[in-house]
Amino acid sequence: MIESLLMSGVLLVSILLHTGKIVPVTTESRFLLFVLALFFACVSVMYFLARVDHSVLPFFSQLAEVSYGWVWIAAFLSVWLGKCCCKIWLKVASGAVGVLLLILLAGILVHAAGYLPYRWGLSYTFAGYSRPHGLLMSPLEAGIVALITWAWGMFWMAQPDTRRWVGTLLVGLSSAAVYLTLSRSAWLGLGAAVGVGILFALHRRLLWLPLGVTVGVFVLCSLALPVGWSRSVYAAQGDPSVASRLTAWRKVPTTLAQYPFGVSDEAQSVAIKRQEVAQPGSALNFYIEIGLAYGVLPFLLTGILVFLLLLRAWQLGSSNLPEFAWGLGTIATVVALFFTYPSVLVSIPLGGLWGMVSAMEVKPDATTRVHTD
Amino acid sequence: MGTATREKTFQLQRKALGNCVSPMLFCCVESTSCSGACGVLKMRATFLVVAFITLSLHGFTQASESSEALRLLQEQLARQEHERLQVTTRWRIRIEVFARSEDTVRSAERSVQERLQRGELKREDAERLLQSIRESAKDRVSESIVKVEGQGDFWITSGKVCSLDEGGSSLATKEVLLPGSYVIAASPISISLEASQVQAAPELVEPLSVRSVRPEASGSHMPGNPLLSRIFLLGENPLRWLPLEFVSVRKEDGIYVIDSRYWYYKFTRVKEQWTASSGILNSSESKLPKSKLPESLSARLKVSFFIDPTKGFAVSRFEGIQGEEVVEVRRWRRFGTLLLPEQIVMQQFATDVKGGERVVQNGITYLVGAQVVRRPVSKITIDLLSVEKTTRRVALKDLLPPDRTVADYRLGLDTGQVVFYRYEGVFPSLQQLSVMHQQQEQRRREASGTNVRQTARWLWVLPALLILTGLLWYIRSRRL
Repeated sequence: MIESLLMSGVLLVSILLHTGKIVPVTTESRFLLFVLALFFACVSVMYFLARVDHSVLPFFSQLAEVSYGWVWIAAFLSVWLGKCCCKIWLKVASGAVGVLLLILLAGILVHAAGYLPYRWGLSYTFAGYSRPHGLLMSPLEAGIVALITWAWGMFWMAQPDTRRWVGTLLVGLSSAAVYLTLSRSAWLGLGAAVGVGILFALHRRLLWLPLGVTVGVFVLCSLALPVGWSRSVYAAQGDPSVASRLTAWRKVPTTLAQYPFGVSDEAQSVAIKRQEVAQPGSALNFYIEIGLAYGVLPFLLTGILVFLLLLRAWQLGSSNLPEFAWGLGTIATVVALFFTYPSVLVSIPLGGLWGMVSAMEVKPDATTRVHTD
Repeated sequence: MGTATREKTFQLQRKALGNCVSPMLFCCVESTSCSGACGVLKMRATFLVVAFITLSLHGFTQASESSEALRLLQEQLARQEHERLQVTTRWRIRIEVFARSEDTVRSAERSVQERLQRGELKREDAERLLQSIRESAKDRVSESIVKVEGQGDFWITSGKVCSLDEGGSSLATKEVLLPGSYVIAASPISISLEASQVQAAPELVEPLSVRSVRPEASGSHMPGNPLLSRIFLLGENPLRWLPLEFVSVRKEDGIYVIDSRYWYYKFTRVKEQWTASSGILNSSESKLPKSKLPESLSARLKVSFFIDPTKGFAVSRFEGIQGEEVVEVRRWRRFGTLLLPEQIVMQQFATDVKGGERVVQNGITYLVGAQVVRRPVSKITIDLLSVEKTTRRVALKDLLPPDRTVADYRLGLDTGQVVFYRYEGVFPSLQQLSVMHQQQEQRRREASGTNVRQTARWLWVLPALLILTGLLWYIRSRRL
């Protein structure tokens, strides 16, 4: 119950920050930012240690289980605090996350080419095709990362300088990565973002090029690897991963009614064995997972925050700002997360992206704008 | 009644009786059916009486023959066990575990990945499973020496743990095994790796520190199926482990064969094999009703011990359910009046089910037309190195000094129901143990819950700090 209330409180603070009802103060912000930075440093070190040495994996898993739900919101708030009190920190952090995203994207593509830079026991296959995930644990996470880099590429494509060409390359590679993962959630997210982007493109001709690159690369990949579309058809043909999601989702209303403050460990051990409630981790839906882990109030507040973020994305798209690209990235990830959940590592750029979009000024005539560039 | 009617009556009666009654009985039927309706009734009554007496006599003769043989075997096996409790033997045990085929490994890996994708497995568990599957793709060999010291009432076994686990290979222990009962003590002894690899087991003279009470036939020195190892290595009477109501004895080419539908080693395993090994894969693991089993299959669901009267009624062979486990004494050695097995070979087989069409009927999944392939899983070769009369005598109370912490597994080794307590010279009964286990679990749950909550409390500092700061900012914003 305490954890549920704490999560509700933090989400409420985030919503109030987003709506401008709270104005952060530098001194406290710096202190909080320092604490959050320490938290991320610990999580990152643990994550990479676990990848290198599998013997520490169980220890990390325990830590991740406890802290998992907090990572994205911590990243979200860090961006806000960085914007208010320490722009240098924000630049450094953005740079670090940017490098991390590039490494992860490169890892996905290298894995797609048949090379895995380290030994990982799990391989995700479909019809004989090995779905790439690179340094990440699954193609679902790889899909989310590719969506974020796609948004980054879109943002750079909207720049007038040489970044435009790098952005084009990034959009192309990210779109290819999204396709190659065969992650249907990422496909759907990208589809939604491209759909909304086309609506914006009706008023902004500049948008046609990045959207064209995206669709073009996707078509090329489809021609080269048509088996990906069979996976989409497979979803309607008794795919067990779809069936298990639907089974878990059906139990969600009764589970939330039974455990309004989240499913406790004790309840998990007894009730889950009897398959009466949806087990946290089984729903494979980010929003429902928050509901299962923290209860009804955090579930509703997350819904409100996501709604506000989508609204902000729409506002960014309607404006004449290049930040519309981050808005499209937000739409893509919000949609993709209906069918997956981010791991600890992916939660950092994801929360950072959402925090950045939340902290952006929308007024076209605003004198100062926050962006990571 | 005319001849034709009599003939018809006879035919009807013959039809009703079928082919299971001897021609002599039919003669009786014919002779009594000649004098009207009353005669027919009399004839039927006579027939029933004769049939009942014949069948009863047959059954009684069979039963008394079987119980007589069982009594004989009981005596002889008990004598064998008694004699084996007087000798000290040394054995070399070589365990070979064969690699699984690539197809099987790949199929197992696929299954784990599918379960992971369905959300039935956590990633870490899946990773561990995959590691073990990969391990199973390699051949493994291990060797150890075991000393068995008969003490008249119990055996002391000592030597390296018979395991392929690398961690346990250098660990030497000694244990006390009571005939027909559990292992009541185990004491690890620190020895160097070099010492553990020498041919003779170390001499162990110090008292045992009671470490664990293990259920049924288990024991660290007992390779493979520990119950079988006890019967062959120690010379334990197998009838101690077979509930007599399920036992039958037959004689085959001069060898007595004890068949049993149950034994006191993993009941659940026997039940599982009813379905899993039948070529009809039951994925739900629910119990297949006994009545649905084909007769031929039902007949094979038993364990058989072969007792050779020419070898002093020693157990010469064992066949597990559907031949999945076969133990055979290849050579014998005479020691006084006793015949000891000089080489024992234990083989274990597994059944792989390939292909087949999945059919669900009454909630049970069957694989119809599947190909069942039998493959060897492991081979354990046990050689008798030496045998001698036990010279030193040790009393049980001297071996088991009280005031030690004990891990008691008697509630179920497979289910991990272990109870820890202070041994005061007497072991608690199973009922007491069950109560102790419930109390222990309650304490463990409380402690585990406390740990998680304690860890979580440290992490709660951060959100609490964020909320407090947010509140502070909100108040300031309102004032402005």
